[in-house]
Amino acid sequence: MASMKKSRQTKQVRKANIAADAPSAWQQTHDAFQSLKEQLTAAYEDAKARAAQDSVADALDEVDAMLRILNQEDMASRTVDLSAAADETEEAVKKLEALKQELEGIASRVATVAKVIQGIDDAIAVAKACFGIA
Amino acid sequence: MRFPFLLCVVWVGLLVGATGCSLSPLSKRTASFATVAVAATKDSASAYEVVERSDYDVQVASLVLNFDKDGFHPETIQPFLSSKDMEARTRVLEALKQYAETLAEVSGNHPLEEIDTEAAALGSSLQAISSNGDLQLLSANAKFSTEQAGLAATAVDALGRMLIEHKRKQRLPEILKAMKEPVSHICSLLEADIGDPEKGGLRNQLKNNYDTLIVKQQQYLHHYADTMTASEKRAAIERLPKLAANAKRADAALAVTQASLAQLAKTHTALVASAGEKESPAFRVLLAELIEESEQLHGFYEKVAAN
Repeated sequence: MASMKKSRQTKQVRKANIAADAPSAWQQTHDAFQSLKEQLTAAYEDAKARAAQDSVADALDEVDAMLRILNQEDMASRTVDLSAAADETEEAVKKLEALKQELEGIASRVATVAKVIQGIDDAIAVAKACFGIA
Repeated sequence: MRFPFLLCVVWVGLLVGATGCSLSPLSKRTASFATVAVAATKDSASAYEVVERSDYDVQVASLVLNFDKDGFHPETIQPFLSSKDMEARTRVLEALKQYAETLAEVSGNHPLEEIDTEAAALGSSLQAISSNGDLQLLSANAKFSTEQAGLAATAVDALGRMLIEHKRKQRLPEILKAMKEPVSHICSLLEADIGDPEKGGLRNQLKNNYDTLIVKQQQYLHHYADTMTASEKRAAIERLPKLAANAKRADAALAVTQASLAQLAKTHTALVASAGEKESPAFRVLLAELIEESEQLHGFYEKVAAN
Protein backbone atom coordinates (compact mmCIF):
# COMPACT_ATOMS: atom_id res chain seq x y z
CA MET A 1 0.00 0.00 0.00
CA ALA A 2 2.81 2.37 0.99
CA SER A 3 4.80 1.48 -2.12
CA MET A 4 1.71 2.06 -4.30
CA LYS A 5 1.25 5.48 -2.69
CA LYS A 6 4.94 6.25 -3.22
CA SER A 7 4.79 5.17 -6.84
CA ARG A 8 1.69 7.34 -7.38
CA GLN A 9 3.51 10.26 -5.78
CA THR A 10 6.56 9.64 -7.96
CA LYS A 11 4.35 9.59 -11.04
CA GLN A 12 2.72 12.83 -9.97
CA VAL A 13 6.08 14.45 -9.30
CA ARG A 14 7.33 13.20 -12.70
CA LYS A 15 4.18 14.55 -14.34
CA ALA A 16 4.68 17.87 -12.58
CA ASN A 17 8.34 17.93 -13.59
CA ILE A 18 7.46 17.39 -17.23
CA ALA A 19 5.36 20.52 -17.11
CA ALA A 20 7.85 22.48 -15.01
CA ASP A 21 11.14 21.40 -16.61
CA ALA A 22 10.01 21.38 -20.17
CA PRO A 23 7.52 24.22 -20.42
CA SER A 24 8.38 24.78 -24.06
CA ALA A 25 7.67 21.13 -24.96
CA TRP A 26 4.42 21.32 -23.04
CA GLN A 27 3.59 24.65 -24.68
CA GLN A 28 4.37 23.33 -28.15
CA THR A 29 2.09 20.35 -27.61
CA HIS A 30 -0.62 22.58 -26.23
CA ASP A 31 -0.28 25.06 -29.09
CA ALA A 32 -0.54 22.26 -31.65
CA PHE A 33 -3.74 20.89 -30.10
CA GLN A 34 -5.15 24.38 -29.63
CA SER A 35 -4.58 25.17 -33.29
CA LEU A 36 -6.21 21.86 -34.25
CA LYS A 37 -9.22 22.74 -32.11
CA GLU A 38 -9.62 26.12 -33.86
CA GLN A 39 -9.42 24.42 -37.24
CA LEU A 40 -11.95 21.75 -36.30
CA THR A 41 -14.33 24.35 -34.85
CA ALA A 42 -14.15 26.29 -38.12
CA ALA A 43 -14.69 23.03 -40.04
CA TYR A 44 -17.78 22.27 -37.94
CA GLU A 45 -19.24 25.65 -38.79
CA ASP A 46 -18.51 25.15 -42.49
CA ALA A 47 -19.88 21.60 -42.68
CA LYS A 48 -23.36 21.39 -44.16
CA ALA A 49 -24.23 17.69 -43.85
CA ARG A 50 -25.16 16.39 -40.41
CA ALA A 51 -22.92 13.31 -40.77
CA ALA A 52 -19.92 15.53 -41.53
CA GLN A 53 -20.77 17.80 -38.60
CA ASP A 54 -21.02 14.81 -36.26
CA SER A 55 -17.67 13.37 -37.32
CA VAL A 56 -15.98 16.75 -36.89
CA ALA A 57 -17.67 17.06 -33.46
CA ASP A 58 -16.33 13.62 -32.47
CA ALA A 59 -12.81 14.67 -33.45
CA LEU A 60 -13.31 17.89 -31.49
CA ASP A 61 -14.23 15.84 -28.41
CA GLU A 62 -10.91 14.00 -28.67
CA VAL A 63 -8.91 17.21 -29.04
CA ASP A 64 -10.84 18.80 -26.16
CA ALA A 65 -10.03 15.83 -23.95
CA MET A 66 -6.33 16.17 -24.78
CA LEU A 67 -6.31 19.92 -24.10
CA ARG A 68 -8.11 19.31 -20.83
CA ILE A 69 -5.43 16.81 -19.74
CA LEU A 70 -2.66 19.22 -20.73
CA ASN A 71 -4.26 22.03 -18.73
CA GLN A 72 -4.75 19.69 -15.76
CA GLU A 73 -1.05 18.74 -15.91
CA ASP A 74 -0.07 22.38 -16.04
CA MET A 75 -2.20 23.14 -12.97
CA ALA A 76 -0.82 20.07 -11.13
CA SER A 77 2.75 21.30 -11.76
CA ARG A 78 2.11 24.17 -9.31
CA THR A 79 0.34 22.19 -6.59
CA VAL A 80 3.48 21.31 -4.58
CA ASP A 81 4.63 24.95 -4.55
CA LEU A 82 1.15 26.14 -3.58
CA SER A 83 1.03 23.69 -0.67
CA ALA A 84 4.44 24.90 0.56
CA ALA A 85 3.27 28.51 0.28
CA ALA A 86 0.12 27.62 2.24
CA ASP A 87 2.34 26.21 5.04
CA GLU A 88 4.34 29.45 5.20
CA THR A 89 1.19 31.56 5.26
CA GLU A 90 -0.37 29.45 8.00
CA GLU A 91 2.81 30.01 10.05
CA ALA A 92 2.44 33.77 9.63
CA VAL A 93 -1.23 33.53 10.63
CA LYS A 94 -0.16 31.75 13.85
CA LYS A 95 2.24 34.61 14.64
CA LEU A 96 -0.49 37.16 13.96
CA GLU A 97 -2.93 35.23 16.16
CA ALA A 98 -0.36 35.30 18.98
CA LEU A 99 0.04 39.07 18.57
CA LYS A 100 -3.75 39.47 18.51
CA GLN A 101 -4.01 37.57 21.80
CA GLU A 102 -1.32 39.75 23.36
CA LEU A 103 -3.22 42.87 22.32
CA GLU A 104 -6.46 41.43 23.68
CA GLY A 105 -4.57 40.60 26.89
CA ILE A 106 -3.90 44.31 27.50
CA ALA A 107 -7.62 45.11 27.38
CA SER A 108 -8.48 42.09 29.48
CA ARG A 109 -6.03 43.17 32.22
CA VAL A 110 -7.79 46.55 32.40
CA ALA A 111 -11.11 44.68 32.58
CA THR A 112 -9.78 42.63 35.49
CA VAL A 113 -8.77 45.80 37.38
CA ALA A 114 -12.24 47.27 36.75
CA LYS A 115 -13.81 44.07 38.12
CA VAL A 116 -11.56 44.13 41.21
CA ILE A 117 -12.57 47.73 41.95
CA GLN A 118 -16.21 46.82 41.41
CA GLY A 119 -15.60 43.94 43.85
CA ILE A 120 -14.18 46.36 46.44
CA ASP A 121 -17.26 48.54 46.06
CA ASP A 122 -19.48 45.50 46.65
CA ALA A 123 -17.30 44.33 49.57
CA ILE A 124 -17.73 47.71 51.28
CA ALA A 125 -21.50 47.25 51.20
CA VAL A 126 -21.09 43.76 52.73
CA ALA A 127 -18.66 45.04 55.39
CA LYS A 128 -21.06 47.84 56.26
CA ALA A 129 -23.87 45.38 56.77
CA CYS A 130 -21.67 42.92 58.77
CA PHE A 131 -20.25 45.48 61.16
CA GLY A 132 -23.46 47.44 61.44
CA ILE A 133 -21.95 50.71 60.24
CA ALA A 134 -24.69 53.31 59.90
CA MET B 1 -2.66 66.77 47.80
CA ARG B 2 -2.65 69.51 45.15
CA PHE B 3 0.86 68.82 43.86
CA PRO B 4 0.46 65.06 43.12
CA PHE B 5 -2.84 65.81 41.41
CA LEU B 6 -1.14 68.34 39.12
CA LEU B 7 1.59 65.80 38.42
CA CYS B 8 -1.09 63.31 37.45
CA VAL B 9 -2.64 65.79 35.03
CA VAL B 10 0.75 66.41 33.39
CA TRP B 11 1.49 62.65 33.21
CA VAL B 12 -1.88 61.87 31.61
CA GLY B 13 -1.40 64.77 29.21
CA LEU B 14 1.99 63.41 28.19
CA LEU B 15 0.61 59.89 27.73
CA VAL B 16 -2.32 61.06 25.62
CA GLY B 17 0.04 63.23 23.62
CA ALA B 18 2.45 60.35 23.08
CA THR B 19 -0.15 57.85 21.95
CA GLY B 20 -2.32 60.25 20.01
CA CYS B 21 -5.91 59.43 19.26
CA SER B 22 -5.38 57.62 16.01
CA LEU B 23 -3.59 54.57 14.56
CA SER B 24 0.08 54.59 13.56
CA PRO B 25 0.74 55.09 9.81
CA LEU B 26 1.81 51.45 9.31
CA SER B 27 -1.22 50.11 11.20
CA LYS B 28 -3.49 52.31 9.07
CA ARG B 29 -1.88 51.14 5.83
CA THR B 30 -1.95 47.49 6.94
CA ALA B 31 -5.63 47.71 7.83
CA SER B 32 -6.52 49.23 4.42
CA PHE B 33 -4.44 46.63 2.60
CA ALA B 34 -5.99 43.76 4.57
CA THR B 35 -9.56 44.73 3.67
CA VAL B 36 -8.84 44.73 -0.08
CA ALA B 37 -6.72 41.58 0.17
CA VAL B 38 -9.68 39.63 1.63
CA ALA B 39 -11.78 40.64 -1.41
CA ALA B 40 -8.98 39.63 -3.81
CA THR B 41 -8.70 36.15 -2.31
CA LYS B 42 -12.47 35.64 -2.57
CA ASP B 43 -12.36 36.65 -6.25
CA SER B 44 -9.55 34.18 -6.89
CA ALA B 45 -11.65 31.37 -5.40
CA SER B 46 -14.50 32.41 -7.73
CA ALA B 47 -12.19 32.07 -10.74
CA TYR B 48 -11.78 28.34 -10.07
CA GLU B 49 -15.53 27.93 -9.50
CA VAL B 50 -16.40 29.58 -12.84
CA VAL B 51 -14.11 27.23 -14.75
CA GLU B 52 -15.35 24.17 -12.84
CA ARG B 53 -18.95 25.15 -13.62
CA SER B 54 -18.27 25.56 -17.34
CA ASP B 55 -16.41 22.24 -17.35
CA TYR B 56 -19.37 20.53 -15.69
CA ASP B 57 -21.75 22.13 -18.23
CA VAL B 58 -19.66 20.68 -21.09
CA GLN B 59 -19.88 17.19 -19.57
CA VAL B 60 -23.64 17.52 -19.13
CA ALA B 61 -24.02 18.76 -22.73
CA SER B 62 -22.09 15.68 -23.93
CA LEU B 63 -24.27 13.44 -21.77
CA VAL B 64 -27.42 14.94 -23.28
CA LEU B 65 -26.17 14.41 -26.85
CA ASN B 66 -24.84 10.89 -26.27
CA PHE B 67 -27.38 9.58 -23.77
CA ASP B 68 -29.30 7.43 -26.30
CA LYS B 69 -26.06 5.83 -27.45
CA ASP B 70 -24.01 5.60 -24.22
CA GLY B 71 -26.45 5.98 -21.31
CA PHE B 72 -25.41 7.59 -18.02
CA HIS B 73 -22.31 6.55 -16.09
CA PRO B 74 -21.87 8.78 -13.00
CA GLU B 75 -18.10 8.18 -12.88
CA THR B 76 -17.67 9.89 -16.26
CA ILE B 77 -18.59 13.25 -14.72
CA GLN B 78 -15.30 14.45 -13.23
CA PRO B 79 -14.18 17.84 -11.91
CA PHE B 80 -11.56 19.70 -13.94
CA LEU B 81 -9.17 19.86 -10.99
CA SER B 82 -8.43 16.72 -8.98
CA SER B 83 -9.33 16.89 -5.29
CA LYS B 84 -5.62 17.11 -4.41
CA ASP B 85 -4.97 20.03 -6.77
CA MET B 86 -8.12 21.84 -5.71
CA GLU B 87 -7.40 21.25 -2.02
CA ALA B 88 -3.96 22.91 -2.34
CA ARG B 89 -5.59 25.96 -3.95
CA THR B 90 -8.42 26.13 -1.44
CA ARG B 91 -5.87 25.87 1.38
CA VAL B 92 -3.59 28.59 0.05
CA LEU B 93 -6.51 30.95 -0.63
CA GLU B 94 -7.98 30.28 2.81
CA ALA B 95 -4.56 30.88 4.42
CA LEU B 96 -4.12 34.12 2.46
CA LYS B 97 -7.63 35.25 3.45
CA GLN B 98 -6.93 34.42 7.10
CA TYR B 99 -3.63 36.28 6.91
CA ALA B 100 -5.44 39.34 5.57
CA GLU B 101 -8.31 39.05 8.07
CA THR B 102 -6.02 38.63 11.07
CA LEU B 103 -3.86 41.51 9.80
CA ALA B 104 -7.02 43.65 9.70
CA GLU B 105 -7.97 42.60 13.24
CA VAL B 106 -4.50 43.23 14.63
CA SER B 107 -3.78 46.49 12.83
CA GLY B 108 -7.26 48.02 12.80
CA ASN B 109 -9.17 50.02 15.39
CA HIS B 110 -10.60 47.01 17.22
CA PRO B 111 -7.85 46.53 19.86
CA LEU B 112 -7.98 50.28 20.63
CA GLU B 113 -11.77 50.26 20.85
CA GLU B 114 -11.56 47.33 23.23
CA ILE B 115 -9.13 49.17 25.50
CA ASP B 116 -11.41 52.27 25.36
CA THR B 117 -14.39 50.15 26.44
CA GLU B 118 -12.51 48.50 29.27
CA ALA B 119 -11.00 51.82 30.41
CA ALA B 120 -14.50 53.34 30.43
CA ALA B 121 -15.68 50.42 32.59
CA LEU B 122 -12.71 51.01 34.89
CA GLY B 123 -13.63 54.71 35.01
CA SER B 124 -17.19 53.83 36.03
CA SER B 125 -15.94 51.50 38.76
CA LEU B 126 -13.55 54.15 40.06
CA GLN B 127 -16.28 56.82 39.97
CA ALA B 128 -18.59 54.48 41.89
CA ILE B 129 -15.99 53.81 44.57
CA SER B 130 -15.00 57.48 44.82
CA SER B 131 -18.59 58.50 45.43
CA ASN B 132 -19.13 55.66 47.90
CA GLY B 133 -19.63 57.46 51.21
CA ASP B 134 -19.28 54.16 53.07
CA LEU B 135 -15.60 53.96 52.08
CA GLN B 136 -14.95 57.17 54.01
CA LEU B 137 -16.88 55.71 56.97
CA LEU B 138 -14.61 52.67 56.97
CA SER B 139 -11.38 54.63 56.56
CA ALA B 140 -10.90 58.34 56.96
CA ASN B 141 -7.81 58.26 54.68
CA ALA B 142 -9.60 56.63 51.78
CA LYS B 143 -10.40 59.79 49.88
CA PHE B 144 -10.63 59.64 46.14
CA SER B 145 -12.34 62.35 44.10
CA THR B 146 -14.41 61.65 40.97
CA GLU B 147 -12.02 63.98 39.14
CA GLN B 148 -9.09 61.75 40.10
CA ALA B 149 -11.09 58.65 39.09
CA GLY B 150 -11.69 60.09 35.63
CA LEU B 151 -8.05 61.03 35.29
CA ALA B 152 -6.88 57.56 36.32
CA ALA B 153 -9.19 55.96 33.73
CA THR B 154 -7.88 58.30 31.02
CA ALA B 155 -4.32 57.44 32.02
CA VAL B 156 -5.01 53.70 31.86
CA ASP B 157 -6.66 54.15 28.47
CA ALA B 158 -3.67 56.12 27.16
CA LEU B 159 -1.23 53.63 28.61
CA GLY B 160 -3.12 50.70 27.08
CA ARG B 161 -3.17 52.41 23.70
CA MET B 162 0.54 53.10 23.97
CA LEU B 163 1.25 49.45 24.81
CA ILE B 164 -0.85 48.25 21.87
CA GLU B 165 0.89 50.59 19.45
CA HIS B 166 4.27 49.63 20.86
CA LYS B 167 3.59 45.92 20.36
CA ARG B 168 2.29 46.53 16.85
CA LYS B 169 5.29 48.66 15.91
CA GLN B 170 7.61 46.01 17.26
CA ARG B 171 5.99 42.91 15.75
CA LEU B 172 4.00 43.85 12.64
CA PRO B 173 6.95 44.87 10.40
CA GLU B 174 8.71 41.57 11.16
CA ILE B 175 5.61 39.47 10.29
CA LEU B 176 4.93 41.51 7.14
CA LYS B 177 8.56 41.20 6.05
CA ALA B 178 8.52 37.43 6.54
CA MET B 179 5.44 37.25 4.30
CA LYS B 180 6.86 39.41 1.49
CA GLU B 181 8.25 36.50 -0.52
CA PRO B 182 5.44 33.99 0.18
CA VAL B 183 2.74 36.50 -0.84
CA SER B 184 4.60 37.34 -4.08
CA HIS B 185 5.12 33.65 -4.77
CA ILE B 186 1.47 32.74 -4.10
CA CYS B 187 0.26 35.56 -6.33
CA SER B 188 2.54 34.58 -9.21
CA LEU B 189 1.49 30.91 -8.90
CA LEU B 190 -2.18 31.86 -8.93
CA GLU B 191 -1.60 34.23 -11.86
CA ALA B 192 0.02 31.33 -13.73
CA ASP B 193 -2.99 29.17 -12.82
CA ILE B 194 -5.30 31.72 -14.44
CA GLY B 195 -3.06 31.63 -17.49
CA ASP B 196 -3.92 32.87 -20.97
CA PRO B 197 -6.93 32.24 -23.27
CA GLU B 198 -4.72 30.68 -25.94
CA LYS B 199 -1.67 29.42 -24.05
CA GLY B 200 -3.10 27.42 -21.14
CA GLY B 201 -4.44 27.63 -17.59
CA LEU B 202 -7.94 28.46 -16.39
CA ARG B 203 -8.60 31.08 -19.07
CA ASN B 204 -7.72 28.61 -21.81
CA GLN B 205 -9.87 25.88 -20.27
CA LEU B 206 -12.73 28.35 -19.91
CA LYS B 207 -12.44 29.46 -23.55
CA ASN B 208 -12.31 25.84 -24.76
CA ASN B 209 -15.27 24.92 -22.58
CA TYR B 210 -17.42 27.75 -23.94
CA ASP B 211 -16.38 27.03 -27.55
CA THR B 212 -17.35 23.40 -26.96
CA LEU B 213 -20.64 24.41 -25.33
CA ILE B 214 -21.48 26.49 -28.42
CA VAL B 215 -20.66 23.59 -30.77
CA LYS B 216 -22.70 21.18 -28.64
CA GLN B 217 -25.64 23.55 -28.52
CA GLN B 218 -25.58 23.78 -32.33
CA GLN B 219 -25.30 19.98 -32.52
CA TYR B 220 -28.33 19.67 -30.24
CA LEU B 221 -30.25 22.01 -32.53
CA HIS B 222 -29.22 20.06 -35.64
CA HIS B 223 -30.25 16.77 -34.02
CA TYR B 224 -33.55 17.79 -32.47
CA ALA B 225 -34.75 20.92 -34.32
CA ASP B 226 -37.29 18.84 -36.26
CA THR B 227 -38.97 17.62 -33.08
CA MET B 228 -38.99 21.03 -31.33
CA THR B 229 -41.87 23.45 -31.11
CA ALA B 230 -41.22 26.96 -32.48
CA SER B 231 -40.74 28.39 -28.99
CA GLU B 232 -38.42 25.55 -27.92
CA LYS B 233 -36.34 26.11 -31.05
CA ARG B 234 -36.27 29.84 -30.39
CA ALA B 235 -35.08 29.26 -26.78
CA ALA B 236 -32.36 26.84 -27.96
CA ILE B 237 -31.13 29.31 -30.60
CA GLU B 238 -31.25 32.20 -28.12
CA ARG B 239 -28.89 30.27 -25.88
CA LEU B 240 -26.09 30.57 -28.48
CA PRO B 241 -25.47 34.35 -28.21
CA LYS B 242 -25.94 34.05 -24.44
CA LEU B 243 -23.14 31.49 -24.28
CA ALA B 244 -20.88 33.70 -26.41
CA ALA B 245 -21.58 36.72 -24.18
CA ASN B 246 -21.03 34.70 -21.03
CA ALA B 247 -17.70 33.42 -22.36
CA LYS B 248 -16.52 37.01 -22.84
CA ARG B 249 -17.80 38.10 -19.43
CA ALA B 250 -16.20 35.15 -17.61
CA ASP B 251 -12.85 35.65 -19.35
CA ALA B 252 -12.92 39.35 -18.48
CA ALA B 253 -13.54 38.42 -14.83
CA LEU B 254 -10.58 36.04 -14.87
CA ALA B 255 -8.38 38.67 -16.51
CA VAL B 256 -9.25 41.25 -13.85
CA THR B 257 -8.67 38.68 -11.09
CA GLN B 258 -5.28 37.91 -12.60
CA ALA B 259 -4.38 41.60 -12.72
CA SER B 260 -5.56 42.12 -9.16
CA LEU B 261 -3.33 39.25 -7.96
CA ALA B 262 -0.31 40.95 -9.54
CA GLN B 263 -1.41 44.19 -7.93
CA LEU B 264 -1.90 42.46 -4.55
CA ALA B 265 1.72 41.24 -4.57
CA LYS B 266 3.04 44.70 -5.54
CA THR B 267 0.92 46.41 -2.87
CA HIS B 268 2.05 43.97 -0.18
CA THR B 269 5.69 44.57 -1.14
CA ALA B 270 5.12 48.33 -0.96
CA LEU B 271 3.46 47.88 2.44
CA VAL B 272 6.51 46.03 3.76
CA ALA B 273 8.84 48.68 2.33
CA SER B 274 6.82 51.45 3.98
CA ALA B 275 7.28 50.02 7.52
CA GLY B 276 9.45 52.86 8.81
CA GLU B 277 7.81 55.64 6.82
CA LYS B 278 5.20 58.12 7.93
CA GLU B 279 3.87 58.71 4.42
CA SER B 280 4.02 56.25 1.55
CA PRO B 281 2.71 57.70 -1.72
CA ALA B 282 3.83 54.60 -3.68
CA PHE B 283 1.75 52.35 -1.42
CA ARG B 284 -1.23 54.73 -1.68
CA VAL B 285 -1.18 54.66 -5.49
CA LEU B 286 -0.90 50.84 -5.62
CA LEU B 287 -3.67 50.42 -3.06
CA ALA B 288 -5.95 52.76 -5.03
CA GLU B 289 -5.36 50.65 -8.16
CA LEU B 290 -6.05 47.45 -6.23
CA ILE B 291 -9.29 48.91 -4.88
CA GLU B 292 -10.30 49.95 -8.41
CA GLU B 293 -9.71 46.43 -9.72
CA SER B 294 -11.58 44.93 -6.80
CA GLU B 295 -14.54 47.25 -7.48
CA GLN B 296 -14.52 46.30 -11.17
CA LEU B 297 -15.04 42.69 -10.11
CA HIS B 298 -17.86 43.53 -7.74
CA GLY B 299 -20.79 41.33 -8.74
CA PHE B 300 -19.00 40.16 -11.91
CA TYR B 301 -18.78 36.52 -10.89
CA GLU B 302 -22.35 36.55 -9.62
CA LYS B 303 -23.53 37.75 -13.07
CA VAL B 304 -21.57 34.97 -14.78
CA ALA B 305 -23.10 32.40 -12.42
CA ALA B 306 -26.60 33.75 -13.01
CA ASN B 307 -26.39 33.26 -16.80
